[in-house]
Amino acid sequence: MYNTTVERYLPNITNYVVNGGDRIEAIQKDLAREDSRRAITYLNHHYHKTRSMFRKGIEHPGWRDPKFWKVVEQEVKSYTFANFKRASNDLYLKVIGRTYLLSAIITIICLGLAYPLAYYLTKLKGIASKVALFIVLIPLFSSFLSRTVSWILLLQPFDLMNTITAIYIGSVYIALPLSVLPIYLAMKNVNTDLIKVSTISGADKVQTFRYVYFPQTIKGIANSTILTFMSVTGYYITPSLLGGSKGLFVTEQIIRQVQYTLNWGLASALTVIMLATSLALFYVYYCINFKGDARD
Amino acid sequence: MLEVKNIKKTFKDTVLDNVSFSVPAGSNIAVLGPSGSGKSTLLNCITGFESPDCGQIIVNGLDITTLSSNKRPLGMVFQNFSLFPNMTAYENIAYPLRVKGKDLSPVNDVLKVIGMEEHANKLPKQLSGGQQQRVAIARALVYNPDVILMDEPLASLDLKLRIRLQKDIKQLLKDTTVIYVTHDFTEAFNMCDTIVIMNKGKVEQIGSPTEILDKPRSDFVNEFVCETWKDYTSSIFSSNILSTAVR
Repeated sequence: MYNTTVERYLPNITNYVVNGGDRIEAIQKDLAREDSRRAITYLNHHYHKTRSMFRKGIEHPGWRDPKFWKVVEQEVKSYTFANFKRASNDLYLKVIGRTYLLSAIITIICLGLAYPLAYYLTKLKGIASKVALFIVLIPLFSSFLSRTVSWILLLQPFDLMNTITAIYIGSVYIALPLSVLPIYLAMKNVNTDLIKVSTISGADKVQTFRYVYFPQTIKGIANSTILTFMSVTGYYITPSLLGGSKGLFVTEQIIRQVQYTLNWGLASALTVIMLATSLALFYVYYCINFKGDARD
Repeated sequence: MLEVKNIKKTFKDTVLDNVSFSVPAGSNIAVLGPSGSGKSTLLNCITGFESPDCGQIIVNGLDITTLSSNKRPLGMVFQNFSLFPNMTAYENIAYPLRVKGKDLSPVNDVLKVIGMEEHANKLPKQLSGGQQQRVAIARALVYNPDVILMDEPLASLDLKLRIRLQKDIKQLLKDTTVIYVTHDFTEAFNMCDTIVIMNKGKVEQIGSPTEILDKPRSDFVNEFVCETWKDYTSSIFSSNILSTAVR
């Protein structure tokens, strides 16, 4: 990227590149220059999204501290498992455990609502079925943030804001369409001849549901569980806006490490742990849907 | 004995129009007709999945017209076998006894009769088409229903297997009252003592297979029988399995 413009806007960095020396000091000096904004714009041109980072360097004196950049450099450069060790201390394990627990509760509530709802949808015929399905899917067409903010307005009069109940309500509302769809699909594919066979064999409605209908929808339930759980573990906006930033979800901890404590390494380690869980669940999803089940 | 008396059923159009016939105990009757002739609706009325607008269905003197499906003394075999995919062959056959809370010992006897003892613990997808159909028939037989209804039970199999299974089914159901729904005259001819030919919701003719072949009562019956007979013979010659058919 070197040319004369570089030398004009980033003289100290240029000098460092040519003659060596302290790189951090060179960056700091260039950022402190009067026309540093131009230098930042120039850098941003080559390295997208660096503008805001360097602008903060000008606006906030803390960012100009060479020690800070040294820490960043160290964090970025060295390969270490230290962050995983830090992420596996009691505090974060507790947060991760709580995230899974809350996500599991939300998933179970979603399944409890989604199963009868999906069943009702499959029983509708013609235009009514299409309209009902559209109503279920409508929330997916609006933004996550606006849906959550709407719940703030709805929950405030009931004094439910900043409570765990608010998180449950908001998250269930957002995750419900995702829970309904796989179950609906499984129910649509239920072989109705089997229901007839069961009935004519003498089974009552409960027996037919238990032995014939329900087993045919298990795949849909499994898919719904995995999709809902995976998506809920990654919720940030809903718990932080409705739950009052209590740091209940690991996503909130990750954002804290990125934005406030600048402990990016730890944030990455937490993210990798969450990603590993998602991948494990995704593998289960793959096995259910593409590898075939002996009892299928 | 099963009696169907003046059954009428209308959806948008009249699907069944005054259908009446009776099946003596232990005999096999075929209900034959092209697609849309009302065969399936008739079957649904007998099983109780549809309720007729008027008329009566009587089994061994008991009027079952308004009885719920699971209380009717009937067994049924479907076209696509309809075995429960999550149950083994044994569990499939045992299902009617299990839901009725009866003793499961007849299951092993039935498995022996259909020659499927070795495959008892296999899932339906591990069985061939012919084996699946035998399990489906065994499931309908195991609780000794008064009448067994068969809805085109061989339609999804290839001709060679169809011919072989026709013999097997006939053997298995020899003392059972059977209503055999099909659109294939030759199948009805091979399997049943009496044939009911239906067209547009009405009964066109009732008679023995030879009677229908020799004395068709209408142009429709004549044409229908000739068409299916022609299809059958041409497929036998084209698939070079005449020897199997003759045997």
